[in-house]
Amino acid sequence: MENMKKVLLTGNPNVGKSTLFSQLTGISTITSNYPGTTVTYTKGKMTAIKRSQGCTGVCDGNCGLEGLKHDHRRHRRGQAQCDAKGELLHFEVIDVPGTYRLDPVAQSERIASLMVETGDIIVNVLDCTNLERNLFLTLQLLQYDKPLIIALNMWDEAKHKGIHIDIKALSDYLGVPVIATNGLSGEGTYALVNEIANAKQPLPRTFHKNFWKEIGYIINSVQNLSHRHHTLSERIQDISIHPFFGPVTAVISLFLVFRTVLFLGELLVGLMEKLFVSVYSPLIYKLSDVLSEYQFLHAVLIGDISGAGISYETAMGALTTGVFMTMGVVLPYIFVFYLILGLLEDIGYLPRIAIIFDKLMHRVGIHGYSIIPMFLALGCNVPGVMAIRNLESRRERFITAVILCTTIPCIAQSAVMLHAAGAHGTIYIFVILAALISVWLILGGILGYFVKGEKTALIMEIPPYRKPSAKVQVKRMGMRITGFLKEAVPFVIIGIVVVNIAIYTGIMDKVATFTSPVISRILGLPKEAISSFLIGIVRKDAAVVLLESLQLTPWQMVTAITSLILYFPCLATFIILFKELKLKDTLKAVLIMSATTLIVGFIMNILPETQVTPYIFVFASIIFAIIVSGFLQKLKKVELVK
Amino acid sequence: MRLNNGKKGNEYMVTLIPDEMTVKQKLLSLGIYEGAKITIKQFLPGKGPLIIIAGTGEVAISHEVAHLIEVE
Repeated sequence: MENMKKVLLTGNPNVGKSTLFSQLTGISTITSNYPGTTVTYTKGKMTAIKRSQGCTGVCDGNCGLEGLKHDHRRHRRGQAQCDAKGELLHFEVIDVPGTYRLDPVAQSERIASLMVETGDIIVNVLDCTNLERNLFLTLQLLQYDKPLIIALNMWDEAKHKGIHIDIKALSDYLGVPVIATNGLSGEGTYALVNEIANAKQPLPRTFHKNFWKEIGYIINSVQNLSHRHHTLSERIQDISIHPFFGPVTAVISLFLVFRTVLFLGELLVGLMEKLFVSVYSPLIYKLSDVLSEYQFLHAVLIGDISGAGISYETAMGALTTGVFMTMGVVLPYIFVFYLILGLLEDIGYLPRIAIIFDKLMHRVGIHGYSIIPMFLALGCNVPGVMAIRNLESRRERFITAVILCTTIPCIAQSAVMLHAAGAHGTIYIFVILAALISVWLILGGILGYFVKGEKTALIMEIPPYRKPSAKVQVKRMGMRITGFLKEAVPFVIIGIVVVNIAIYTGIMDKVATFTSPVISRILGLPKEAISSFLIGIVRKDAAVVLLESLQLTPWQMVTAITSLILYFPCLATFIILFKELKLKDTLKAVLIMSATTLIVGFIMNILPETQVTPYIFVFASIIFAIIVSGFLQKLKKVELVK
Repeated sequence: MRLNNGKKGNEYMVTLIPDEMTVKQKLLSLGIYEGAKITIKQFLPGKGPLIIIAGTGEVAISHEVAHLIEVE
């Protein structure tokens, strides 16, 4: 469709823009990256009828246009072919990332400004429960002199809160059409579509240079607040940021989310396993027969499937372990994680968690918001690394990614680790945990000090709690899953092919002989442990199982497991990391991870193995880490003044 | 007085946000500007963020930022 007009949906974050976007567009939406950035936006198509004779473009079912082959129901959606007199128009609707202001200089606001420049019609979505703040962006948008339509969203909620807005007065004041909408119920969508189809240049208006003065006048003349009681949702909101109950609620809810994800994830993985055995295994056996003459291809694609039934965890072929690992294990976890993350996002709990944990995360020089990726990574590092995309600056993304990949074991690792270390006594589990927590604090502190870029201070809107929209949830889930399938799965499989080729051609053996002194001298482990570390590149849980066959002393065992967790994320995580950080930063990350592993492994190695070593290690490392990170944090101040 | 020395539950008028502050524009767009009336809703412990009511919305700002904002 040529010459489609671009409709830009703009507004502050948390005003229900995406919900309104889903109402306006159909299911076929595309998410893309803004060129050269990690900022993503969504676009879709919309059809509307331009009013000529008869058809008004809005229909309440009583429009009296029946004689004109007018279909009320379809017309009401604003997207059907209405045969009444009117012109059918096609629009491209773009959901611009939410912003509080347009600023061609500041990084995060720049993209929104650039996108607004390219639009033909601007729809400014406002949250009526917070009109004052939202109008700041509106006044900026009016400077662009493009057709502008205001959608007063959350109309119902405002009424509920005792906020009354005089729509006509607002429209007259600003010189643009104003429509009351409710993204959840779809109320007002037809009227909005109609206004888009008939959009005109705004009437000329001059505003006070000081926008806040102007907004003061507007609010005085159009908004009316009536007294009302605290609602239940507001009470819950107050609890979630309470100095004592806030952190308690946050910890409990994170724990509950984690348990739920674990439970549902395991359930789905179990189902996938059954599916693989009954549907996929026969195919693999057939392929194995065909490939039996080509040893090389067989080794790379299928791997070792001798024995009763295919062991997808250990076969190591691209089509066996590769496909199973991504589709059978990571995908179910990603699905469950996104399900819950999406709900928390839409309800509005995430900003509160960020605020509660802000102080803790400042220890490692980043915002409280980074707790989200870190927390996600406990289930599976892949969605954790994917979530760093939402962080504000390159500095935050880098620090979060590095400490996440180094110190946070995914659930598969945790399970094997707990089992293998716990077999020697519970204290050894604490040794590993203490080592990880100390590395988290110290490495974070060091990165927070050294990584270039501004250490930013928290300034964040706290949106009210809101009902999530099922439509938006489904749509976003679809986009995230396709994103994973397209952006991650093929690369992981290619990665496994590369590793397999390296093993088959003997390159891996050379690497092993070359690096084995490191293992034996620095980490104090037997030479054979290298095979476990190499397998760990593909699957860490399999690597720990291999370690168990080496008859290590308990202390060697915890040293080996700690090093295994620290040294390198699994292949799937690594590939996502590469996509998020790009080549240069990924190389830096790998260097940091290797150095950390060697240092921590070496320290653990030189400690004498006695009865009390584990106990001393647990206390000493944590106290040391708290002191060091506190010191490092003080070294770099937040730069608030130019 | 600096905002971080304010009392929970009190309403204050912002008198000065230094022009040199790198985050001035961001504060402005969130409704914290010179002349704005804001209420301190909550302090989080250990010099954690402050929760401020500006207009009809809530904003969390870190202790360091609050320290630079003059109110009365």
